[in-house]
Amino acid sequence: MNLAECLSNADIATLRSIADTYELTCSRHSKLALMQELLYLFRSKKFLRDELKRWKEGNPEGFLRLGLETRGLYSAEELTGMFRRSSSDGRPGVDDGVIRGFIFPTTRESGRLQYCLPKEIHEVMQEETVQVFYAVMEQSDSGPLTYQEADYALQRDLDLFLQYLSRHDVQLTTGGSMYKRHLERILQIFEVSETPLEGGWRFGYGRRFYDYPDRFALIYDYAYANHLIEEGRDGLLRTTDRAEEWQMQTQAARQKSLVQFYISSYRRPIPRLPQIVRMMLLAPQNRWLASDSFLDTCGELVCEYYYDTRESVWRLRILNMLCYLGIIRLGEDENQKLWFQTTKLGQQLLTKGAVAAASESQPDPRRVVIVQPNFEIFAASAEPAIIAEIAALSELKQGGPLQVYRLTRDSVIHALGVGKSVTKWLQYMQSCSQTPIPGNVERTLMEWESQFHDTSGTATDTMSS
Amino acid sequence: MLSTLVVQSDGTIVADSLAPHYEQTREQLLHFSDLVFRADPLHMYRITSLTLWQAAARGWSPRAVLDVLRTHSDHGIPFDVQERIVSDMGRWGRIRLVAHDESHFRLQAEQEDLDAIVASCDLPKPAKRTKAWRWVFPHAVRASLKQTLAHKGFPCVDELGYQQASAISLAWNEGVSLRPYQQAAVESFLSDETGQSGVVVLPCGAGKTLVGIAAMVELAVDTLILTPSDTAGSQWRQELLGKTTICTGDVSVYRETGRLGPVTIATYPRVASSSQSGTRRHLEALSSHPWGLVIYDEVHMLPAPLFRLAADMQSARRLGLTATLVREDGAETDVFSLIGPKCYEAEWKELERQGYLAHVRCVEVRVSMSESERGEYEQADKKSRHRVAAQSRTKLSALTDLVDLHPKDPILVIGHYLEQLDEAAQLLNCPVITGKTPLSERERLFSAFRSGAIRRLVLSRVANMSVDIPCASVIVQLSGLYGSRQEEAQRLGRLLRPDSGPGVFYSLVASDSVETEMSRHRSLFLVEQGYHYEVVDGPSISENHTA
Repeated sequence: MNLAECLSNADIATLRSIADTYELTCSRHSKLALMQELLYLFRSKKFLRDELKRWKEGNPEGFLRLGLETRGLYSAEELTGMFRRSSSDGRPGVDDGVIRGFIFPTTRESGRLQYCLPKEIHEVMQEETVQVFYAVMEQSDSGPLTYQEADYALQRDLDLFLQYLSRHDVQLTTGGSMYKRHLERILQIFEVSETPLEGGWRFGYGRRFYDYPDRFALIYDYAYANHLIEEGRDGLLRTTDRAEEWQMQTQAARQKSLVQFYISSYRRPIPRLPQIVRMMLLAPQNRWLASDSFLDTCGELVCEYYYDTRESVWRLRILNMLCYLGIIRLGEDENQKLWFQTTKLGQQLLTKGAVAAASESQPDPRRVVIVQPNFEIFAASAEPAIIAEIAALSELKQGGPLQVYRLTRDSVIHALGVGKSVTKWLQYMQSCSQTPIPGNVERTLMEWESQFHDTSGTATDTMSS
Repeated sequence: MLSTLVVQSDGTIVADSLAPHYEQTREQLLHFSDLVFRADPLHMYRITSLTLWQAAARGWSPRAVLDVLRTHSDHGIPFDVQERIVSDMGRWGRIRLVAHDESHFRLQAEQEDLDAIVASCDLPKPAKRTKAWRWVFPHAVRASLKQTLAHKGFPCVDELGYQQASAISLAWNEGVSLRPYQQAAVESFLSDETGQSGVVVLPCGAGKTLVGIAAMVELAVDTLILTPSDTAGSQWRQELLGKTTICTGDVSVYRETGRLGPVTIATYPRVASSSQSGTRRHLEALSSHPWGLVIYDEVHMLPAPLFRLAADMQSARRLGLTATLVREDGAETDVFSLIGPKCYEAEWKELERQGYLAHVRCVEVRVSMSESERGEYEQADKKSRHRVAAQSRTKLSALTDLVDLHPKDPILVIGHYLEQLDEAAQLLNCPVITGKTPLSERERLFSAFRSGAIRRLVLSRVANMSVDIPCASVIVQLSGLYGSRQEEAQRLGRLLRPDSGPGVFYSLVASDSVETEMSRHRSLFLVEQGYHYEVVDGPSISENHTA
């Protein structure tokens, strides 16, 4: 809601108290006159900024949290929670905001008491918050020498995990975790490598956080929470039908869902996580931020958590995880100083509505495959469904943003053995391939198919005779 | 679908050749990676320790390399690759070989590097067992030390310089000029950055010999030229005498007599030969002469025993010439440490586009074995199957069809099995050259072929290497030997002569046999270099192509 709407929804007593605060001279009896006077007064950006600063002085934390929110309506409990200080329960801060005309009590929306934060006020609050936050922070244009950038690797590895489960019988221990042999193999095929845990305190960051290393624990917990996998009563870990539905979704939607899952499960040990992430989104564009300096500026936003020091919460639970999720790139410079930067993907994932726009911008998302005359298949950011079809006849040679598959005699014969048809496969590839399928590949595949049928045909004859 | 580049986690770079800025990007890429594979629209480059050391040697910083990759790639660069770039490039220049006294040199590096070297390398004995002489070695181990270090990932900068060599007098004859890429190759070789030792990579037929001669003209010092065969040797001699002012007497071909001249041409097999007692007389004779420049023609063919020769001649400038750095034995690191880094590379397709090489079509012709051959094939053990398939008689009739298709073109027929070659020669009524053919006879036939007096020639595998036959525009390969990629490149090299117009390379393959699989492997190299490779059925040749 904008300011004018909030003012006209407010009762006259509220408007009077605001007018008193600013010592306005207008009539206290005409709502119209009060509204006009207040609108006129609030039109000055400078006035707004100065007055907001006064409000902030008594309530820096509440101001920061509200400034980083994205909604227009808050319940009374939420707001008093935000403005709670060691000396008070938060009411004084909220009341102060009301008589200054920054938040407006209303019962219109749900019948319960809520507070409305006008758009114009929120914008200035956010600007102020962000500006102050980044004003003293150490930044750089050149940034680190080497840095990690995960892009969609997390969901690709989740796919590999599901693929592994569908092809192997994975037995669980009585504690419900996978045996190390399987875990090691799964971690090995992943794009971003991790090693199994070696003891130590671990709790708080998810259901299986105790059993698995950080990144895989998130993948596992996500899959479990979304019912892509189930821990069967027979002690087997397997995929469900939902896993196929998951494959039909777009990359952007899948990634967004992973990010949401991370924030909701990590905000319990790190209550200010949403604000921190939002602050990163609002960081100056294309600048690298010094990790140390960011943590210093964060103050109370980052706290220690039992066995985790403040530094390790920041480094391991926030920076590393956001990096895995493709939201930031993270790395060290020549002097081992740590820098990070929000990625384009991060901007898209964290900005409301941007996800849909981003996925539409790909011109022809289906033409993403190239079959090479040396029997290799390149698939760039392809839909999971296409990848599954490619993988049916070939073997994965290399993962990553550009996946490389190789057609071998063995892989094709294997596929034929389970009833795949080369002709149909070629037709499908033709439909999603950027370039025509090379003649030598086509011919060889057909040759293999006819050889396969010859030999299996002979076998049948022998049996019948 | 792609950004210009995608960097894979094994250090491969996939480039989309249709991307708008590809031309400039490619030039930058070749500074720190090798083009390994090309199948339009994708080109593959590979970053290795060697290519990174080379880049560092030429003044590139890790940040500059990473900036190129980041600028042209929409996806992130795999972290492992970034770290490798930083650590490999960081190693260049940390270890140096410097002069100590007349017969010794010293290995110079920071203590931490010296510690790392001691921990991972088996070093030769130092000259004296005192602390001051801990890192001082006799000149004799200069090469082996460099080799060992490079293998363990410690490239060293050799600052020992070259020995004094006698000057020779030669200049270009009037009217001889270098093509721009040949000029660039020579300049790069002579520049300070490469230290005047290194390898120039040019496609077959692009005039590598001329690059070698240009280096000789610029340096004008006693030169040893090593070639894979006598034929190639005599071609070097002809070119030298024809293109420069050098006197005939100054160019000697090294034979049994062992006479050395200011410019000496020797072959790898001769130099590598040893007497019954195991001594390599020729090797010793050649390596004791103070050469100013040693040219290794077709350096990828340099046989492993001759790495010793290369090792013994570290005090001369070294120029390697080759069409490909691919070695079936994987000894690229030895070439790097003993001859030098790659100092110039031109792409086959690029030169073809500029009109320096003829356009070539590769056609695999499938023939069916006769029933009796098929029977013999099925009976044969695995080892003999290739022989049976390769010598199928149906190939000879397909050969006749192919020859009929090109009535006016000069045709070379190449094969591995002598009987088959003899029959082919009879069938086509033309001469055949094998390993037994005397050199003089070979040269006579080649020159007849060159002049057009003979239009068809059958060659065995022996005659395959480093032969300059300017006017063959059609090659028929009757049989190949297993899956050597070098061999395939060499054969194609015969065709790549600009004066002969578009060329065709036919290879005859018995269908449904081990030959089909082998041929697939062999042809991979061509496909990866960007050639169009088609497969046709033998019987269809005469019907479809009679136009």
